[in-house]
Amino acid sequence: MVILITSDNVKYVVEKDVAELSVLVKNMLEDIGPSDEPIPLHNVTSTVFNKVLEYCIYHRNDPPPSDDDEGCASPLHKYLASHICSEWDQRFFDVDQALLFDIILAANYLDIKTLLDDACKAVAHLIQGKSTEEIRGIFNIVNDFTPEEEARVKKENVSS
Amino acid sequence: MVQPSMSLSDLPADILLCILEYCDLLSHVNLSMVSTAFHLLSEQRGYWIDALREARLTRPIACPLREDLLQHDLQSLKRIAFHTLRLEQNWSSPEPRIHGPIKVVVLGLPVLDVIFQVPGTTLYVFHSRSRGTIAAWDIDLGKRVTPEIDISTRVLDVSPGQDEPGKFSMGLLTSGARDELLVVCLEYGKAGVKLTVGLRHPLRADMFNWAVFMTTTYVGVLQCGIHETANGEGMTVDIVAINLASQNATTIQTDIPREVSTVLRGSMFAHNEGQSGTSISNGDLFILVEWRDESRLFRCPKKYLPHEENPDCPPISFLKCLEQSFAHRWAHPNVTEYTDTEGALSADEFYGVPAVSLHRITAPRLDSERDDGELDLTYQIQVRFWTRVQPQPGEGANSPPHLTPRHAVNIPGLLQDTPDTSWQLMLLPHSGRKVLLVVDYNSDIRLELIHFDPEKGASFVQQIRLPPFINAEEIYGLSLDDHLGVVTLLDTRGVLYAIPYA
Repeated sequence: MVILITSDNVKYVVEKDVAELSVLVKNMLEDIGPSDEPIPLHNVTSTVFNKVLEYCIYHRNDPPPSDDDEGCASPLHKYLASHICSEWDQRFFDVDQALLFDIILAANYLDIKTLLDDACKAVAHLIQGKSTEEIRGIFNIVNDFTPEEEARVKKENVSS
Repeated sequence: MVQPSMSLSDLPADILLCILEYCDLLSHVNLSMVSTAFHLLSEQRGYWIDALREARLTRPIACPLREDLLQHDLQSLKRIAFHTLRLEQNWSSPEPRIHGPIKVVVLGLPVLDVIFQVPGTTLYVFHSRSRGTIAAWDIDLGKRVTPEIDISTRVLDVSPGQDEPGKFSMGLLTSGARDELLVVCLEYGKAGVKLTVGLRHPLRADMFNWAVFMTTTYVGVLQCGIHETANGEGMTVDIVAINLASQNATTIQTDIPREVSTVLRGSMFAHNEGQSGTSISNGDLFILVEWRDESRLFRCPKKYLPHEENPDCPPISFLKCLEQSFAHRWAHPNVTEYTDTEGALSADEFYGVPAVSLHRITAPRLDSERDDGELDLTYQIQVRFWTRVQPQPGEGANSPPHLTPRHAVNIPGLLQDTPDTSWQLMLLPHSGRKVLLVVDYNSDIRLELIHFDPEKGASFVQQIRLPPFINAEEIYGLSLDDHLGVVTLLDTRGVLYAIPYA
């Protein structure tokens, strides 16, 4: 068992194999050796860590991702396989944007590659098929182009 | 404690790039116009290189298949991206619009045949039947750009093209005093254009050769005896393949009886009831035999073929194919239908469609009664797209990969038969994802473009409208560049028209 403490001082007792999905935690455990010392996670709040933990527990037995292209996948099949999102993952990432971005930052900090990739996929999914105006709406982004700049950027896109 | 909520644009750049990895090309374009911050991100070449690399895995983009994108500057990368999207949009509308001027080039008479066009460029290699030569033309310049090379007056078959950066090559089967297997290679780049014949391999004169296949390391044909000999030689189909580096030939004797392969360009049979073709998929060679309403597929595993990792490939080997063959009987609810095969074509396997076959379906018209008691017939062209079957989870290495007829589409009419053409007026580009046909529908000559999506297993058909100065009845040759979106037509007067769609 490994003890982890989030930035808001919530203590978690986590099975080692689950905790070690985080490369950050794994490296820290290796550095300090066998010890009962809690590991502080400075950049992660308990709200976010609850989600991270849920993901890690669900995916604890996943085979590690491999670049092995044995079998006979065409480039197309490999591409499609990398873009598939399971139903569980879809439900898991069906959260408000702020939390989704926090999960991404936490996955980045904790160095959990699969979670980072899957969360990025979830954001990409929100962008997919949306117009520029719709993207601004979804993500609450202000159009800060001057009218001249915007006209120039648009023209470049249609005429070149 | 309430923190101001975070926005997409507040994420660090490396994370944005990670998200962009999962965004398609159109999303990249739309994102680049969202705000100045995203626009700044899109002013980096990497933004477009990643997007285009990703895009080209699923369909052709507006440059050659294996073009090195790192060589392009920002403007050029954006041009490729916008061109690709423009074409996609145009080709998904019911009536595609011609985009820009049609290039008209007088090639001259006697007419030339297209051997290939390098997708994503303006380069073509033509064959002159009258002079027995090939030469490359740049249609942008409107002129021939290489000297003519003597090959033969007859080209019997060509393989799918092999695309490498700055280089496009193709296997040709020619016939003269005896059949020859050639590899024609076109190199292009800043140093100019160079056309060479890299290999000339004479084939046995007492054999019938057809169905050229090629990879970057070997080229080959199917072969069987013209006459059955006393010892039974020539009764089955052989595969002959030549390693391009060593030029050593390998003969793989199969147990495919030559009746099964019904081979043969009408010379053995009066009608083209049957056709066979070869496709390479994941290193294996597939022989697709289409005969009436039955499809059969034979597989020659990679280990028999003289590829780069097989230097000790024996000169002669024997392959039992029949046990591994695959047969598909096409259901005919209407038993009065009759199927002929027009062609078994092959494409590069990159996009997962290594073979396409075309068939003529003839059926009596049931609602008509003619006074003379003759039957009125209706015709359709059936196009079948063959894709690779992925091994299912749980299937071991023992289940050999094979091809399956993933999708078939019927188009009313007959293949147009312009007198004296060298090739039938059907064209499969190297991507395998489109088919261009010249169709005679009750004497109305139409140009039909079929778009196949291997991911969805679905197709849709567009009619290409021709400008008034091109007479569809005079079409003599075809080419289709689905990277740049150019339909090329050659007419019987020796004029080439390159029609741009993006």
